[in-house]
Amino acid sequence: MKRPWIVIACAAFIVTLAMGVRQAFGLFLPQMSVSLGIGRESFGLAIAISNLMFGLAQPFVGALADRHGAGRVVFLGTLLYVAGLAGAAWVGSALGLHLTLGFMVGIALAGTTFVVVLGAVGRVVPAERRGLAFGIVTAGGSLGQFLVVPAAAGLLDGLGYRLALIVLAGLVALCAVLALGVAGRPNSAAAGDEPDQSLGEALAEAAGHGGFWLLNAGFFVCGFHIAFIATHFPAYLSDKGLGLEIGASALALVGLFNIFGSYLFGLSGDFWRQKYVLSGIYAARGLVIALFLLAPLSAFSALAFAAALGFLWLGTVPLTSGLVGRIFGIRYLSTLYGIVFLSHQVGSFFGAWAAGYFYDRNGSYDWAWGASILLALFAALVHLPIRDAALARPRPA
Amino acid sequence: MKRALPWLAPLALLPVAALGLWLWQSQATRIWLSGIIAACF
Repeated sequence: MKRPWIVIACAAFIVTLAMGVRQAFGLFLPQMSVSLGIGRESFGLAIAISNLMFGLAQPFVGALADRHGAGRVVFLGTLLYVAGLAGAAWVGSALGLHLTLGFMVGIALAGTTFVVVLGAVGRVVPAERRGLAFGIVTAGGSLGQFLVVPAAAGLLDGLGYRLALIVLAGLVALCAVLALGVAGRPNSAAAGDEPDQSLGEALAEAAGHGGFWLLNAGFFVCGFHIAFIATHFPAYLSDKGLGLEIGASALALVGLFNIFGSYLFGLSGDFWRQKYVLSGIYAARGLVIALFLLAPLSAFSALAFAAALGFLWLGTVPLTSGLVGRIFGIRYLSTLYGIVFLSHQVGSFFGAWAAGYFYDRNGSYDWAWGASILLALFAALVHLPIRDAALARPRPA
Repeated sequence: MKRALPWLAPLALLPVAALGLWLWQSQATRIWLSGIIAACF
């Protein structure tokens, strides 16, 4: 078996690159929409397709990783990611953009991010250290978002969008090498700890466990919060008379504090029951949003809010995936966490879309803020009754 | 001390945080990347 720190380091670097590049796509909108002669809606549709495919493909890609190993899936995902980015640099129409940056990159993301690599990490790390390991990997993704976005902005300025996409494709290609670090046969790794179980049995077991559905509900809320804030917060600040630079700085602070939050909340899962920490994160999000809305709006309050929410941003990832692994075991972690991640992406869809929809109807984000607080309370409550004991399964004689 | 180490480990990332914040200033981003690109090509 590989040394755990090699698997953790490779997994962290893979998500650093894959998540980091993904976060930079929005920067390409102005140049690409002008160059291709397409509207912003059409570019936005490519990103929306990418997000949707990311979520829809995730359970299936997770199942492939559980069956054939994370290394092979990351390798193939990387090839698709590189082809999608290079294709996006080459295409000359909206349809081409939807196929490359939308479909190809969306499916590729499912093969190169948290769900797949956390399954590989879970197999080599003992249960009592899994929170720390998952926290490190998640912080890698957060680090990528924080570092790659401004670097991509510089690339875009210096090279133009086509060459910038090719350079980003080159960065992502490194994941093909890093895939060696997470490669391994899932069956043999898990066999020592857990009795064998078919995929169908694992799915039926999860479907019959109330906690699995509650985790899905909670992660839906996480997706809603993140997509709403990431998409609409700069515009909200701009509406209130704060400059766009405050919005950009706010997103930078979200990214910065996200690194520390992802790690520390992951680590906390090794010391406290994950469901209580998750409940606390969602309650804290609700409280932070309410305080932000009640306090007089200023550049300071906006940046303080961004830092606080950033700290609570992806801390849910190591805890939710850790809880899935704790209850159901790691044999089908990528499949089961992939399903929970699909809920996250559905929440993301509503967070980004519904907030805009109600803004257009009412001229304010009041509805979206209110929904965010209520959903935070809902998520804080739904984690409490989760039966988080590992499921007992009879071992074969 | 050994018990506190994992909790304090993120402090090692402070230089990276400083680099990131610097990158987020677009002017600095341009200067930094143009230097790298000039060196590569």
